[in-house]
Amino acid sequence: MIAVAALIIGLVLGLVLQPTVPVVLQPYLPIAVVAALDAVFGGLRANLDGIFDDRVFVISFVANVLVAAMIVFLGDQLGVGGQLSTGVVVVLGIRIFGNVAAIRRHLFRA
Amino acid sequence: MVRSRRGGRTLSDRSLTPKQRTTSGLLTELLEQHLDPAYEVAVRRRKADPPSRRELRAGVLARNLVLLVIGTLLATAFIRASADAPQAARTRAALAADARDQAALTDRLQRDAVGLRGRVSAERAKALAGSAAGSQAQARLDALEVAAGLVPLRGPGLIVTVGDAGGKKDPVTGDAPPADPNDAGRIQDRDLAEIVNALWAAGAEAISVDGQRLSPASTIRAAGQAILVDFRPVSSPYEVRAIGHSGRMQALFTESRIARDFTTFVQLYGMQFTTRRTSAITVPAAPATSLRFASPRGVTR
Repeated sequence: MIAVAALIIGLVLGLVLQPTVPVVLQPYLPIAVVAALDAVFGGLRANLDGIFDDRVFVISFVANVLVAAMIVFLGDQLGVGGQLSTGVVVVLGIRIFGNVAAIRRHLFRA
Repeated sequence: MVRSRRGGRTLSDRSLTPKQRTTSGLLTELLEQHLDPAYEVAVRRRKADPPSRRELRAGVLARNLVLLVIGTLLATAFIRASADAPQAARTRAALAADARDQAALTDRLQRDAVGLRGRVSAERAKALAGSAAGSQAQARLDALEVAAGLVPLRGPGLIVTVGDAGGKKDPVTGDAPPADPNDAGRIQDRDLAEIVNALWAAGAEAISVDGQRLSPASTIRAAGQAILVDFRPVSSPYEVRAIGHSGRMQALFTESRIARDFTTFVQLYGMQFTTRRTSAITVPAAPATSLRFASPRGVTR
């Protein structure tokens, strides 16, 4: 419950404060969002499986965002940023899908 | 999947040790292992070494902090995305409005020019009426102006209407599909040009396409998906008006290759093609051709 509250407070904070994203970081925002969603759904599923762990959750989020950003940065430098972004989105997207499917099975038994 | 036959049993890679599993391909793992394996490892670690109360409290704090950050991130991304979309729409609307304004302006200037040209002709006629040489020049001027298409004309004639094939709907959304320049059912600039040429050949004395009078220097060409007559866009259905002997013109035009082609196109692609005789149609004046390089023989500029 506290976790949900924290998430909602974060959303409200973002909507109210409307933080400006530095121009340098703007290309990484969509990738960061996908990485964050992967961490959240992974955590939620682990929670339903009864194996949630704070350390793993925090580290997986930070590592996800950093690795995704690094891949995109490297790709930009090499001139294949678009393709690598697509790769990151596909890999994380598949994981999000799988985890959401597992969550659905947990919640609806279907 | 790694399959090995051992005593008639098939082993799937799930029953293999993690070390053996690494050989089974990245894609299989991606498609089957959605949850971070670290969670399972963590369970084993916690069983072996239960965390202290302090560690637990720090964990809860870090978790909620991360969730706070994630929430802020999502909200920020949402704001940015929703701020960008209307921006694009606004730009497009502004460009479209600009284009409309400019088109209206050209129309107005065109009308002004026609009006002013009428006044110039009237003044010139008054000035030339005084002498015999003057009225002779006036008669020649009138004939030349008519030939150059600089005066609106009326008379009997033919109205040829052609249009893109329509009625095709997207089976899913029910919307008309986006215009495809390579669609066989679309009128091309060449089609219009050939229709106009066939009408000239059939004896037309003056022709307008969608209200644009054709002068001797007129062009019919394509730019992207639009057809331009004298650099002004026209759109389907295209109405081609031709003044001339309507009966003879219709007979000759119907015999022309392009008209016969279009009769086939109507059946094949569902394009529109109609020819109508009228006793009185009007065509507007054409914009004056400004000559920049050519000059009449015997006259120095």
